[in-house]
Amino acid sequence: MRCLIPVHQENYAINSLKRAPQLCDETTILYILDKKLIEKVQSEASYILPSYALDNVEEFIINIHRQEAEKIKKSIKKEDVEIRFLVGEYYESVERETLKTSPDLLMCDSYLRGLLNIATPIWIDRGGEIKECTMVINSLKRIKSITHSIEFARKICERLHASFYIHYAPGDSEGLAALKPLGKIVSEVRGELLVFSRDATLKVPQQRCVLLL
Amino acid sequence: MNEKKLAYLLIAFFILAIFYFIPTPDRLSYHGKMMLGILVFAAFLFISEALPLGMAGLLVMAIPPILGIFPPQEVFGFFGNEAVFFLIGAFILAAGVQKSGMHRRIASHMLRIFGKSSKLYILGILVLASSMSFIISEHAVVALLLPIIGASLITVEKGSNMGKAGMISLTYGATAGSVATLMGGARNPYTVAYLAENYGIHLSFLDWSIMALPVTLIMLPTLWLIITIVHRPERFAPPKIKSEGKMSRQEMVVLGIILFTLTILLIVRSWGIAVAVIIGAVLLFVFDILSWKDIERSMPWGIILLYGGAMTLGKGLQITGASQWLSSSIIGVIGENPYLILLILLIITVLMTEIMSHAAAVSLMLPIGAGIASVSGMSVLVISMAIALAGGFGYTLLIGTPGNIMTYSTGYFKQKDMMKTGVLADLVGIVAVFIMAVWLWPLMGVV
Repeated sequence: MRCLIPVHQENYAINSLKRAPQLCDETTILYILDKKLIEKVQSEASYILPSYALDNVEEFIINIHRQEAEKIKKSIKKEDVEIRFLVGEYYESVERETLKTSPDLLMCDSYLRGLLNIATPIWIDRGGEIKECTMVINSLKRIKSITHSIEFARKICERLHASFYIHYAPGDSEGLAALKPLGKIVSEVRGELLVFSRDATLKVPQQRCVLLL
Repeated sequence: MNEKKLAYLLIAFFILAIFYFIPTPDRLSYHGKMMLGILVFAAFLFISEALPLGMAGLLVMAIPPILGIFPPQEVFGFFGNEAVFFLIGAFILAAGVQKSGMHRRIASHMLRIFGKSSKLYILGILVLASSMSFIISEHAVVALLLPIIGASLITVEKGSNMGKAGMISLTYGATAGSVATLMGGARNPYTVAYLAENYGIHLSFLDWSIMALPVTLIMLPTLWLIITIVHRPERFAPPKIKSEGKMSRQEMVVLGIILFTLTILLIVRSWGIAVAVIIGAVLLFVFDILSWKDIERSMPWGIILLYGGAMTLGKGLQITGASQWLSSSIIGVIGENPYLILLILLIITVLMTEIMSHAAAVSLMLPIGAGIASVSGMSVLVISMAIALAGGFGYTLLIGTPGNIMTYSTGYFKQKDMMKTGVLADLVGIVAVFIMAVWLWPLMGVV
């Protein structure tokens, strides 16, 4: 599995970086130094700082983030780790990178609304050991079109050595028949399922990971 | 210029137009009304940053002649003040320190002394940054020390409490130290010039330090407690900092010139504040420490031009009677309780300095505060000093001071980490200045 982990100082994906060796065959770390931040330093400090000091600061900021990116690369004890360092805007950079490299999975530590436009499965990692994977299917009507996603989720779950449960709302017997071979299935009341999936997506709870397909 | 900034600039002129067309209130002249308009216009420009601050300062100088408030000779004459030349000299002296590398020696020496434990190390960074801000502008101190402190924290994990505490203490130390002497921030000499020009109150370098240094001395241990309690730094093995070896000729010369300059500033009161730093700056050339190219690189024209706008506001409001009218109106609303007035002024100044440059906040608040003091019978000096010192805070927001955003950009802490300590630090700062103004300065004979 090819994973892309964007790292930014406000969205520092510590849990994802820890999980990566377990989950990914190839890991690309996209270290993004916020361009707006450099511009902000310029605009806030240029009127009062002598140019020698301002040049020093900019150079230092870029260097310290480069060093941090290298430190992250070394911290993942796997061979297939690539680090890409760029100065840019967070969402734009992630979108461009996913379009360019088409990773299997995008990993981050918290729910970020801007990432939902990206057509790559997103893994939101809140740390901790994962013993059980829960897949929520709100409607069985389109079961055929999501079979690939269920397979993908099961593959991830296998890699984590966790048991895999598919929660669904009963009602469609044809859909249920298609679901049975894909994993252990659990019937849930539709309303509870909706609340569960909405909460999990909007605010990923601690010690729980969410895969957005 | 992008669309947003253009829109802000148009809004600023719209504000000015509103003042032009509204009827002139009783007991206020047309000139006074328009100076109040320029005050609001400037405040909007400073907050929105529609123009770079230096340009905003220049624009504020250009508007009074257009509106017929002052002839151009008078407005541009406001700029010819010894505080401007003090600033220029101080920036040249700072360039000398930077070029000689003396700041590295001071930093490595102090960090070695304090490098016994993580908490002591935090104290060391605070003391180092604040003491350097006594002779160099606080922002330049952060810029110069950033690579040194950054290198010393290189083994520390990003997101760790030690990293957060270390970087936050760098900017907080510089901020706390900047109020102590006239060299720490441009707002300090501006306050001295404002008081001299408008109220005939002449403060020497020593007078300022005697009044302001206690605030730094109160803030330093308090900031240390706040940072270490909120961020609880983990155990940290400071890297072995190499000794800088023997002092170079350049360092010795610069040290000598700085000491000589400070001695004159402290002893020879009749020379004012600019003569000594100009002599110091010239000596840096005599001893071949600096070249003209160094000067070009060391002069932040933005703050010097902003100063022109600040002086125009200060003197313009005073001469036209707008300051007195505004002060009477404010007192009519909040009453004449001096403690309440002082507290409100301090809170507003600190809030303003969180969203705009220190110098801009002080330049806007000083005419109002001094005017209120004058009308209500309070000490103009006490109120002005309180505003100048409170205008040097800005511990909470990243835009509170350039030092905050510079240290944040290293990635060691997040915005919320600074807010946690900053709110407490600002509150303590307000209390410290309030105590100084109400009890300590009167005890010292300041009236």
